[in-house]
Amino acid sequence: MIFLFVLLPGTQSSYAQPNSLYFLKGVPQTKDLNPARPGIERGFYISMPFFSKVDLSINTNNWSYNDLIHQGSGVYADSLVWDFKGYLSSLGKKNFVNESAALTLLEAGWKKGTVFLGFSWTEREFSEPFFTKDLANILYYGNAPHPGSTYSSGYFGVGAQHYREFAFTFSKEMSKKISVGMTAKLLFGMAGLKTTGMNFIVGMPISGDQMDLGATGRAFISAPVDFQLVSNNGYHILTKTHFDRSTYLSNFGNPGFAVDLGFTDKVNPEFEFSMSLVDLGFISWKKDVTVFNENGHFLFRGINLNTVTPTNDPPTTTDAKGLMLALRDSIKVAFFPTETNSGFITLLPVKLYVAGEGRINENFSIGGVARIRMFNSMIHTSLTVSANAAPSKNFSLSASYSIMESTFDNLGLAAAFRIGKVQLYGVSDNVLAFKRPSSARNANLRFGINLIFQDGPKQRKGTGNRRQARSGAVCPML
Amino acid sequence: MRKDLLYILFSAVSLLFASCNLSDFQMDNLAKPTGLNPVVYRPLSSGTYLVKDYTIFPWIGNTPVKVDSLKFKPIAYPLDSMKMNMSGTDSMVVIIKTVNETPMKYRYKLSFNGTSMDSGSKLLNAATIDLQGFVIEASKDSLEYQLNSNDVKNLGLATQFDLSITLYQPAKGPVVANVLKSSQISFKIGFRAPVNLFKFKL
Repeated sequence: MIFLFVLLPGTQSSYAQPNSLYFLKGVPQTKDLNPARPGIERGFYISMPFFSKVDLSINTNNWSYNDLIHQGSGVYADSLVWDFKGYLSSLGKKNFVNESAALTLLEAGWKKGTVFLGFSWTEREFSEPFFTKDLANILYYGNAPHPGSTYSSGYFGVGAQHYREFAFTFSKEMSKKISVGMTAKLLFGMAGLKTTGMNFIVGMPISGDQMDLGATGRAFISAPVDFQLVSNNGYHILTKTHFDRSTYLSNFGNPGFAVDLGFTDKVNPEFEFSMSLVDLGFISWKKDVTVFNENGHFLFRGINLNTVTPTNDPPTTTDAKGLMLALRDSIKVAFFPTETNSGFITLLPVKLYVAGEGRINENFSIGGVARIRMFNSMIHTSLTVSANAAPSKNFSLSASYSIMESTFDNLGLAAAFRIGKVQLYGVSDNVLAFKRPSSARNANLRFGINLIFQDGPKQRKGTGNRRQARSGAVCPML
Repeated sequence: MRKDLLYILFSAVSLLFASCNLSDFQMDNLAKPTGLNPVVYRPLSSGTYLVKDYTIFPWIGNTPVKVDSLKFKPIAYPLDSMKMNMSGTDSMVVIIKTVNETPMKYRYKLSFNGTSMDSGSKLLNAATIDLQGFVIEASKDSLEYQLNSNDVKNLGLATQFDLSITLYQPAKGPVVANVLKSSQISFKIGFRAPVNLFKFKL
């Protein structure tokens, strides 16, 4: 993960697009959450080349930076202090921190009649380290509290990817009620990291005479660098060499494919139900792959001092250094990971959106969207309700409240504003996070610039039609 | 008028987005990390010392052994310039567990060459023996030695461990030669120490 952070400054991507975007009117990017909802009624749009949209997101399972670092007291009243014990108490049984970012370099779409076609090129990145509270416990308390029991770290690891996405969207209004959409995504992995089954155990009898150590796990890495495990004073150090940025950015050796599927049903004139499955896909990592496989076990009893026959010529001397080095070598052999270069597959974090929107009047609606996100064998859920308004053809707004990962203080805003053909929009599910980022559990932000070219002649038809065209462009569902 | 209000509102929202309060983190005021000191317990070494191997033993059969004390040959464990890694450790408890299967009381002393430290010595119990001098039950002891930061530093400078063991007549019961000759004393040494992970170096 650190490698990816160092390697990819600025090339980030989003995995948790703000839910508040879902019902924002007149913004084509709503198709990213449900391809059956393209956001424009008719016409053509193109986003700002090289800066079409930016997505940033970070969230945890209900712990924040402030739980670990906060204002001190007493002699530390004017400083920030590290509070590992407080942090430990804020952790759940399973924990994660997910960060993601995306930069869309090019995006365009066209809608005519009942059909929408779209294309986008996006650089995406995400990482999600995960760990158990048991692992944090042993780092804080050590193994001393565990004689007479077997400590297990639980599974920990990280999933991280940087990939390039070329997305092709097609949606169609099948009838006045039903719309369907699909986005097919060609993916090209730049760098990937996946771990599976990583954990360790320490068994110790009540006497504390020995430690039964076991460690298992696999780490899959694909990146245009050479990894080597070298021995440094008896410890294994991972080194990398031969990184070349241009080679990295032109890497098309790790293909993948994903789809987004969407569906909307106007149940009646006042209510629409919609559902979508986003990022159902995979990347097959074949290029520059290194796989480390660990399956070590060692019964540690310390050094055995009875290795020489006592002599009649005292003192009886035992080579303690030799014994220690031999013990160290034995441990090293027991836990030395094997290395292979076989390819691997990673799944994208798939999201399921289920939404309903009730129309209050021509310009105002109430919506609710539930998102279930699956990654690293964990399920992350969020629920957002929003009030959505489109008071003019140039302006639309959504105000939302979300429950995310057991956090209840997420007030969101989404707004889109047009000047002529230029549309600016910005969305966040937790605007309070910008004021107090240190105590935020969830923070996300999406913003972008579109140039929207409406199909003019249809807008010039009669007053009634003009009104319909205007509200349709802004509120396609209303 | 309505449009103007909306524009103002939009501008306010935009400003809110743009004004991420990064000063909330106050990284300049961040104190050095402390308080991450997991207590590590680790067995270190073990040894078994058979009486006949470490003493000159002139007695045979069921001859009573009547000497007041019986000193083991010196036992040395040179580290040969290898230094122990004591980084991140400011205090330590060395735990020595012994099992005495001999019919005699004993003292041991663990010295650390190159330093002024030693474990000190204490008279420890003999195994329980019957009227014929046979061992019925071994004697078990566990001693803990608290080392402060200076002691820990000294321990890191040690060049050799020396172990000396001396046996003494028990308070009651006979000590018989062939029982004593084949009996043994076992040691298991471990330590318990809080390790400051921010000072620990591999």
